[in-house]
Amino acid sequence: MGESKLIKISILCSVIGLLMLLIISETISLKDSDISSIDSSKLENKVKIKGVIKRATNKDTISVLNVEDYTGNITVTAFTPNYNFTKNEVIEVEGIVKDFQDQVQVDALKIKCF
Amino acid sequence: MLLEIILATIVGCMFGIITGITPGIHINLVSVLILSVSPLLLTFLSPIILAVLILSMAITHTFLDNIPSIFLGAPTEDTALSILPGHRFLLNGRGYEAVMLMVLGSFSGLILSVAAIPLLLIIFPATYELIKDYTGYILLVAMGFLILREKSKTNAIILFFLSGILGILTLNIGISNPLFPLLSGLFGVSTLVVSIKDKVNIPKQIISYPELDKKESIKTSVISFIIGAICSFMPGIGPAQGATLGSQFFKKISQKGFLILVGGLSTVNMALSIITLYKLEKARNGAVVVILKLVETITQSEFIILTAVTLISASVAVFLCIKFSKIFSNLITKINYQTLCISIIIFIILLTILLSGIPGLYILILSTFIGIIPQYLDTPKSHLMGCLILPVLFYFL
Repeated sequence: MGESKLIKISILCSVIGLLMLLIISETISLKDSDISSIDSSKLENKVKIKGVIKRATNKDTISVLNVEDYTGNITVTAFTPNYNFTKNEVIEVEGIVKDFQDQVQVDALKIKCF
Repeated sequence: MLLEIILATIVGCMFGIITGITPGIHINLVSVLILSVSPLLLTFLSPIILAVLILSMAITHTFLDNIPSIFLGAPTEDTALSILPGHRFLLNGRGYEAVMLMVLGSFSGLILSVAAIPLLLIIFPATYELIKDYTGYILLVAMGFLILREKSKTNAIILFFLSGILGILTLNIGISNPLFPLLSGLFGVSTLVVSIKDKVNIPKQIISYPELDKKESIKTSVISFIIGAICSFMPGIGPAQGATLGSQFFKKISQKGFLILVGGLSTVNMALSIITLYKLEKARNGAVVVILKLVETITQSEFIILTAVTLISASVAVFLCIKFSKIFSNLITKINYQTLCISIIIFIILLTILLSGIPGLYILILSTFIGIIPQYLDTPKSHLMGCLILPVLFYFL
């Protein structure tokens, strides 16, 4: 295999990789979920929710939030040192659905504040 | 999101160039740095984007770290065994060929890995459950077999245990970054010291593509894929140990074939570690540990993204390797090789002191002395990998 053949194969592989990304890009972005639809059947799944903070408890390394949208409310746990969430703040949360003391909640991986 | 992934891949490749070409800067170091600033980065990036960045850096690194191991005699644990045959190529004016052979090994191994993913998604979990409790015994039998195959078994045993004891001491005395002085001394500095003593001069380097025996190339690519796959899910067995086993079990391969084998192992190991992460939720190397901490669980879509990024990064890395190895080939003859060797040794000494302190320097000196021995006993340097294998054996047994 010559150098030019190697380069051609690598270009082909990169095109295949880009095509794979293009095809999967529709499912990459998490769609917004209604809070009421998050139940124990979604445990360990990644979800995205958007809502208003109704209650915020901020400690040194963890914040526990009660987030509400028009369908319901849910507890969100955020590990965000040195940030204080406030009531009525609108946030978008991407996280994993977990079970804590028989209650479904979301452990946040990413929070966007509006 | 698609644009973010592509940008993260490009940035990862750029990081991979720096870590690959610079001796002493490991992807684990940079991955941990990324993890430490991740709280800030995650305010505007998804965890999967950081995972993409780290993976593309890691894949690019496995291609580009072949260049310093051949041209500068500065190996990582993955490329340590390539030093002697690679050095021979360099001294014959064929350093570029040596790098290309390792790049071929990396790229062919990666293509085989991606093609075999659907099969490996079934095989890995089943096999892991069967053998995870017997890793130590498997390694013990393999090492015993390797030593018994040597002409001079006594020399092989001496080298294995000498380096093994050094490895155990180094990894347990509490110095930071112990692998750097250990492996640099055993495989890198020792080779450079012999080059200085023998007043080696690097001849003009010819930029020529290696002529390959098709059968041997395919055979060694498949071997590196199989061994790399085993290393990616077996606890305690990394590309370094895999290269030792592969080089001994398949002794009839030529030096070219050996470089293809060693080149492929680290790339296959890294590429398939995403299967171990996805199916077994286990991390077998530092970069994947950081990815696991960032994303926690990998969905099917994210697994496909990481596979696509692996293909793209590898393709970019091939191109980068061709360019950089040509630059190195042209530069290396413009510099006095003795001066270069001395400069690299000084650089490694300074880096050792920076990374591991004075105890690390002591380890470097000791490992250099031990690393010189095989050349005078006419015994393969591969037995010096006892420095990593013996500690693993003790851990499992």
